[in-house]
Amino acid sequence: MSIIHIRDVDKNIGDSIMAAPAICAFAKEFSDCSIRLQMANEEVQRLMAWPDNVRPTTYDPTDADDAFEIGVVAALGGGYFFKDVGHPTQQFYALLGLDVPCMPQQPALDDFPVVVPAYDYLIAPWSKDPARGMRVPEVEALVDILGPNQNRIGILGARGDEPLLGFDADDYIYGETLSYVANLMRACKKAVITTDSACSRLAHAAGISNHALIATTITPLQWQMHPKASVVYAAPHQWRTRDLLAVIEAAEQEKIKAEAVAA
Amino acid sequence: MKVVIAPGDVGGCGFYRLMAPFRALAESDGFELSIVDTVASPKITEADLVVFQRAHTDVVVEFMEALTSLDPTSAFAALAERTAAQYPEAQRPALKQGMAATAKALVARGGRPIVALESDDNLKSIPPRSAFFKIFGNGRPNTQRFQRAARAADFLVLSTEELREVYELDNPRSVVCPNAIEDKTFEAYCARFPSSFCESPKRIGQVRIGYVGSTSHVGDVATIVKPLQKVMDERPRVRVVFYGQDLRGLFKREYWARMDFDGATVAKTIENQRPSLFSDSLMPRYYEALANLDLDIALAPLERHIFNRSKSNVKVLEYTMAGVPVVATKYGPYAQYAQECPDGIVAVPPEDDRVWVRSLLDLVDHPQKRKALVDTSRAFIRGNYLMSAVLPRWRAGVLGYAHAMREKVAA
Repeated sequence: MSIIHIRDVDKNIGDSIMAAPAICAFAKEFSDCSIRLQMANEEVQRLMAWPDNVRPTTYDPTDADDAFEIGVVAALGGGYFFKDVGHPTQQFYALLGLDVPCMPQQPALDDFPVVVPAYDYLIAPWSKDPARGMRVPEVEALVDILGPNQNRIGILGARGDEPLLGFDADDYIYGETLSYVANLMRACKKAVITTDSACSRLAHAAGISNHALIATTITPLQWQMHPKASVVYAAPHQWRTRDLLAVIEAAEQEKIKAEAVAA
Repeated sequence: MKVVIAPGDVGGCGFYRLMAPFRALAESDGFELSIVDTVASPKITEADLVVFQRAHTDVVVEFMEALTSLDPTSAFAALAERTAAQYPEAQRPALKQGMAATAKALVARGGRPIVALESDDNLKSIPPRSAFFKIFGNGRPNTQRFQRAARAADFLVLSTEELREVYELDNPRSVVCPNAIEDKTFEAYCARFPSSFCESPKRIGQVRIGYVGSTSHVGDVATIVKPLQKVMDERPRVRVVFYGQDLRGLFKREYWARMDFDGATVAKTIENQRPSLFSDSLMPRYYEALANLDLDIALAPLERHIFNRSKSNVKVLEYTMAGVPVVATKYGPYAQYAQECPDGIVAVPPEDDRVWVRSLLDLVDHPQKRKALVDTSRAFIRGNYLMSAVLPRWRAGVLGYAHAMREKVAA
């Protein structure tokens, strides 16, 4: 059996998640080969459900010169940019020489059954890039509008992210594992609200229909959104309150519709 | 009846003072309306009433003088001689011929059109900080030309009673016709931007306080720099937004990060799609831009200056149409508006910084008050400053005066 060595150099959670569907498709395309996979973000590597012929291994950039290196920078800017290819997941398909799907495929997560609290709203406001994330006053205003007294609201973030004034500390979900956060998103009763960040990519991977995405004009919309997201798209920090509320309501309605169909 | 209007621009003046009211009048009264951008148009000599605006060039002024003279044949011949000297020799015969044809047409019809001149500003007293100060002002050539045109006109069409006093010595015959918003436009904006939008800040995490105005209002905004800085100190969520002219330079540098200038994009759009005089496409785009600034509070400051006494209240009408409550200086048109509709505007005594700060903070903190102001002001405008409400004054004023003057001229 031939061995194909793929190394994903992206350390960011979101970028790694977006590469996963293309790697899976590649593995299925070459089902008679063994795919030796090294991802720089090992938590994402553990999180995803890989096909049987994928062998996840510890990331080592000095290992094996024959590795086919992939990464979001190469995918978006490395000469593989086709006119009709927008979302980074689709770019990864092109980078790996696969037929590009018309929609970005949903990454498949492994099952990690744990009991999680059910929040009415989950908000993932922060981003490493301050222009893409929300500012503290913006999050406070959003929490105010969503009615913290009537609704249980959780704030998602990484360890060390900013706290909000007067917000119940129990509802900060900072530094939790990706699998736990994915389960929280699935259990969320009304809407999961994210900026263009790792949580947005995780929401796509979690397959939730009630995802409200707060996007910014600093990158093309098709790079940020996914097929199930309800999106508000504006210049950084210029999101209209009424647009945001409409998008959150749309996300809530999507969940209601999805549940009604399932029932 | 044939009416010709010659708007001075494609912006607010041309629209509010000529295009919008005369189109409404033509529609309701069924007369023939033409819009021209040159005195060479043969429509002028055929018209019963011609309304000029911004008569700031010698040709227009002298044309008006010739048109209203007792002996148009010799007046146009003299005008042809004088103006021909300014043109290349090859064009002079055509110019003379054109003027002779105008005179001949007037003689043939056995009369002349009634000539009116429109103005909505006190051009004799431009504030020193205005961008137009070097162009206009008492004794300057452009103002002198305008005064000559005012004297030549049969009557003046003015926007406020105060302007009547300003121009009384130039021409005692004048009618006052107020600015108004077109009914359909107003109702469309009320539907698209309901006052319920005021119940929370229009952009998340911000309270946007804004000023919209052209380059002639530096002095007005300068009067409220300190109160605005104080409000930004007191409330971290406040952002100050300018549209039309970037006035951030009036403020201390430390505040610039919390201020926006939102005019560049629109200016570029307008540059790329410059409308012609025969369309009024600039104003719809302006209304749209204003409404999409998402202002939570609008500012209408005025410096105490004789020029501002005779201004109209159209800025308040526009802000209100866009669903934004207004804090204004209690001076000139806004003092009058506050008197007419006390609960529809917050009027602050001139140069009273503390009241400015108090009023703005009150509105920043109380969205319900913002909504109430918009509701009250919109209801008041519906009854008083929509085109349908002011059209009788335009009809009685302009058309009434034109009829009376026609009989007098014929006699």
